[in-house]
Amino acid sequence: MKATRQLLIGSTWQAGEGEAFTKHDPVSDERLWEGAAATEAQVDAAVAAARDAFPAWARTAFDERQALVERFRGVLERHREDLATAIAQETGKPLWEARTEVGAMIGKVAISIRAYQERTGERSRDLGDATAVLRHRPHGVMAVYGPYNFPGHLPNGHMVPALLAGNTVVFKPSEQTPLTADLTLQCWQEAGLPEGVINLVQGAAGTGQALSANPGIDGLLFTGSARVGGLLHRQFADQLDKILALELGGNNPLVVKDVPDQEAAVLTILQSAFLSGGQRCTCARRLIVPEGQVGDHLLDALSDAISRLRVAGQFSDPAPFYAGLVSVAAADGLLKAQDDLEALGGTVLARMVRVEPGTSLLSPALIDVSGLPVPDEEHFGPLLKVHRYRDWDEALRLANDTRYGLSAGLIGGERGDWDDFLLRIRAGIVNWNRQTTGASGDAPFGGVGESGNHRPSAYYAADYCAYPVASMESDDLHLPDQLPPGVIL
Amino acid sequence: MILQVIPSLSAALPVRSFTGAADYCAYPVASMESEALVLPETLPPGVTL
Repeated sequence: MKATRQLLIGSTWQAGEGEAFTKHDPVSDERLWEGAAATEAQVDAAVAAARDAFPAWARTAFDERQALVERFRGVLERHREDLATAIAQETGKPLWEARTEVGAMIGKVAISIRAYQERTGERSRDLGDATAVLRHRPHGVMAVYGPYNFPGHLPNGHMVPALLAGNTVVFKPSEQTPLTADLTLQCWQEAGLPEGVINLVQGAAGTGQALSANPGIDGLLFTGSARVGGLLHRQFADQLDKILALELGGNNPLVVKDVPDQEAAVLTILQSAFLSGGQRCTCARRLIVPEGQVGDHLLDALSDAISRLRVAGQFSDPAPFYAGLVSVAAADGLLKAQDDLEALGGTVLARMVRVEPGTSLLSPALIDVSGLPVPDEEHFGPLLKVHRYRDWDEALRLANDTRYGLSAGLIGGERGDWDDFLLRIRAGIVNWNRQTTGASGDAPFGGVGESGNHRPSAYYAADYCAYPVASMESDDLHLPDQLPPGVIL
Repeated sequence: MILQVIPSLSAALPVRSFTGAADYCAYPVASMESEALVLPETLPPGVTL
């Protein structure tokens, strides 16, 4: 596959007329994509194209909409390796992991068809002289904003349910991952996408602002930072006619109760904090460890494993555990975050360094910040903060000491501890003796606090892609046996 | 042993009822849980313990 480096408006690929931008591989520095952003006028044209396509698409029988997404799945299977390569190049994640992302896109189709039927769909109840029917109708034109960490899987998790429900889409990918979006749209076209059903507008904040401010959209589905999510939430506050679904970040706690198996505990922590180089919203950011010998030994073993963790280019052989961050600038930001935490008094147990000059390859950081007033920020990279605790209540207090509430984990403990953890922790993904990363597409995905706006995605994405219509219907109009009081006909 | 709290959503959440007030009175919590902390047979790429 080859990038078009253009926008898709209706059925026409056209060059962006806004600011030029490029995307480079953050490890090899190879130029992957260059083009120009969509201007406000081009965003308007994309929304208009989606609006024009909506009535016919919404009237298309569900079976036909399902057939399109199933053909799209077949196209993804054919272009699996091209897409995985593009995702690895663009995000900096290892090729083995990028392949699992394409696998998740493929798996999303069957899950979304089942979720459409179970969460929305149609059902009826016979009431004798009438039938009560519940149907679901599409909202109209959905703006979908993709994040850079899963540039294929996450927008796909909005677009497939949106299309199944009968919506049309204007897709604005992250400006850090234009290539994956470009190839994904070509896959949709190869599957027979009708004109205007998905439109692609490339660009950064200006393009995003033009789309979110466009009165022609009926909803906006956003995966990204809490900062931008907060701006959108305020922007949509007085627009009751639009649906807004926000999937934002987390400052996720991983609590160690005790350590029944030290190696297994270390692996669970590595997988929670450093998978994808910490570029998953479910990554553990705060490790909450008991004071005393058990905790000391665990941290020693963890530091030791960190020193042996293989961080190398996406396509290296042998394969790395993780590779680059999305950009050299993102890596600079993480190094600065480490400096800031150290300046606040944090003790660096494992120091993050740039593995190769000029790249976004970073070794993991492990920083003890116990008792320090550290900001409640999501550091989107391989940086894990340690908090030591004296007793269980303090562990829970520390774990919940965040404005976010996306994921949380417990290592060790008995069933009673787990039950207590489940009742007291504030998060939407809560795991026991399992890594915090790697959520199941069969379950809803979302959190509380500033992790979103109570519109969970994944299995529940169907919910925000349609609205319910309740009907009482009868195919003949007849007079009841008894008239209401006061009525004479 | 791995238990998934939501083994089948169709069992846990059969259908949206005709009245949906329950939806906004709770938030979903998805868990992967295992009573035992065990090392898998194969380690992920790049990990040495």
